[in-house]
Amino acid sequence: MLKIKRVLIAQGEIAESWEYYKNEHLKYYIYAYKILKGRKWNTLIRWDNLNGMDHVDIYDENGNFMESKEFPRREFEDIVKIVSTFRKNIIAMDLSNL
Amino acid sequence: MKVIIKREFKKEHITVLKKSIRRKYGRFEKVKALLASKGCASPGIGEAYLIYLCTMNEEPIEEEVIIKDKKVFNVFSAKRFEMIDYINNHGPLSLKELARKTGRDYKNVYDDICAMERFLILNVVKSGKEKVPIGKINSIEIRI
Repeated sequence: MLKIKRVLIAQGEIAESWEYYKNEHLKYYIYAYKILKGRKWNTLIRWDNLNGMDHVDIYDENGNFMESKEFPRREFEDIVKIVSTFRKNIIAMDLSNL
Repeated sequence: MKVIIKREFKKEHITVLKKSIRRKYGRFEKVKALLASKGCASPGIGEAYLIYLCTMNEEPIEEEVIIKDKKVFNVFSAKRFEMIDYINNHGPLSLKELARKTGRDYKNVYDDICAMERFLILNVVKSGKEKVPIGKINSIEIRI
């Protein structure tokens, strides 16, 4: 089962969660903070475990990949709190301290 | 204050979604290979992979939208609620079909859909050159 959750934090800014459950257990997740540029939602930060490891990917405002770091999984509610607090400044922050 | 929208994806919606993904990223094997080679560099591939996994196993897809921006109330209107109702009852339709079937001007339909899409009220995918709102809204709730 796939559960998608989108939270519109402010106009043009969303926190998004994609959780794939197999036999009621969370197998894969993608949590992302996206901003609307023109008509396209560009990802700024993205947490996922699709490659089998919990990590975070950071992109620039045009959606170009910048870097990837290990990052333990957090609940989506925590991710929403983090991105709602720091908004677009989040890409300049040291995520390991959050 | 927040507005909560719950949406489910029926078979016909998933078909449109899958078609749109196939056009953009290719078949499942290609998506899997892309994910392994440059998953991080192209964020949409992960979502495509999860949709493929779901459709192959015929698993349900549910969506919940939480809107915390009060400006969303400027987007709602009687005409737009009528449109949501029409989309809910007549399945996935392209904007052209929607305009023709509701007897409305295409530009007005386009503007309404874009305004609702911006606030996540509708989930719109690109199917070829056409935009298609997908998903059946089960509830729109206002919490104070």
